[in-house]
Amino acid sequence: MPFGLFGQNAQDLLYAPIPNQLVSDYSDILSDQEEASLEKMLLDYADTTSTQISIVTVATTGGDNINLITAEIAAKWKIGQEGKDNGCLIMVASGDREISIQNGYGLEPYLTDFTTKQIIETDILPYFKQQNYYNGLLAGANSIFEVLQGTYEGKGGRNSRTGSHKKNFGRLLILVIFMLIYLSRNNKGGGGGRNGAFRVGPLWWLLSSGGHTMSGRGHSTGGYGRGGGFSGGGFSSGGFGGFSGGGFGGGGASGSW
Amino acid sequence: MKKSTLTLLLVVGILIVVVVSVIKSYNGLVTLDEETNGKWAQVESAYQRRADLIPNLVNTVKGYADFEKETLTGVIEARSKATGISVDANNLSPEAIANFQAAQGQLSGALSRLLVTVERYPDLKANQNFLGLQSQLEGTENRIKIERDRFNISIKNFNSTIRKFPKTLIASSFGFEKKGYFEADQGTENAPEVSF
Repeated sequence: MPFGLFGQNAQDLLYAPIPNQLVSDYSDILSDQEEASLEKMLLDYADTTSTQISIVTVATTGGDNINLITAEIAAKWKIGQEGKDNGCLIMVASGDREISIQNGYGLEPYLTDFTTKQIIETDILPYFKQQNYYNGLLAGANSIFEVLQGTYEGKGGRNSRTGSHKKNFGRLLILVIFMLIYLSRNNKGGGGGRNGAFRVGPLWWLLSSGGHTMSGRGHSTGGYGRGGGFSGGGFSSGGFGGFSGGGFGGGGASGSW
Repeated sequence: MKKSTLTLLLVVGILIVVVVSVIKSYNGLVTLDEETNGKWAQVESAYQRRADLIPNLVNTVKGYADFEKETLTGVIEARSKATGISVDANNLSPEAIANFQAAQGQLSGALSRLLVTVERYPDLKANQNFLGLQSQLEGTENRIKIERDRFNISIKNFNSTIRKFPKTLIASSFGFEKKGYFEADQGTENAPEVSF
């Protein structure tokens, strides 16, 4: 098979290596910027919720039922987390003018077949009919976010922001304990107090070095630049860590334009 | 004296090797057997899901006064026949599977006749309830197809294992029998097209 034709047919994807990104535009219907922006959006979503939503475009399904081939690929790639089965694969066969969204077992209770069908028909296809694939996929992904909102929070995947918050909280707790010890020593008064401060000082820096956000809040004297959750953005630039073992059983829907 | 001890040791050694390999093979077969049972449970629940959708579908369609009665009764009858046949996971014989498949196949046929008839009722086709049921039915047909495929793969694995030497000796002495799988048949080899 000539390399240039790779990925044009969805069936080839069953025998190809599993991609290490969330958005794979094999049929080239998205510009590089559009691809990158979708990738970033889905990666951020995966990092915060651990729900992996992947988008794949191909030219054709090669005559297969698009729902079945999409479910087969999603199951082979194991999109989503093992045990939670919270993966979702959006497959566009641009030449066939067909789209399928397949949801992992864990998403099925929230993203029902009917809801999925509605997302396809009302949010995605109007854009696809105007060849505006990017906005269609964007609208579709946003609708999926809305449907799933609140249902899969917690336990993040790689580079998760929730994870770093937990770590920060742990640091804060240790910090508070040390402060209490420090204060109680101080209360005993005398020169010993100064000594105590000197000993705890380096520890303070050690503990707070990783948790800028929290230590900033703790001081309450932090400048504007330090506030808020924006510092989290620096942590999530690590890229996609791979699909993690989610299972699929055919839940989802399809549509054509 | 010394020679006989050696022979004894040798015999005991061989015996241990044989017993251990029999146990290992047996356990391997049990694992495969359990796997097919598990896959069968998935198949049954996918079919059950479809059966559960039908009363709702029938009620929604019934509301359209002049809707063909025969088509509806056909679906209802096929459903009760199909749900009447259940297969014990411990007896997945080729006959049992074939019976099950035949009954479910009739229901598939009755359902697709119903959906074809619906094409003639634009009001019904636009009904929100019906649209919801239709997309659920479509998803369910996909689930059935997928679970059937996975079941067939596990059965193929099991059947070929119990026929190979030397496991075939263990399989026959412990009563592991060949199991049935779904044949591709007309109308179910592809999930029925439920188009809007």
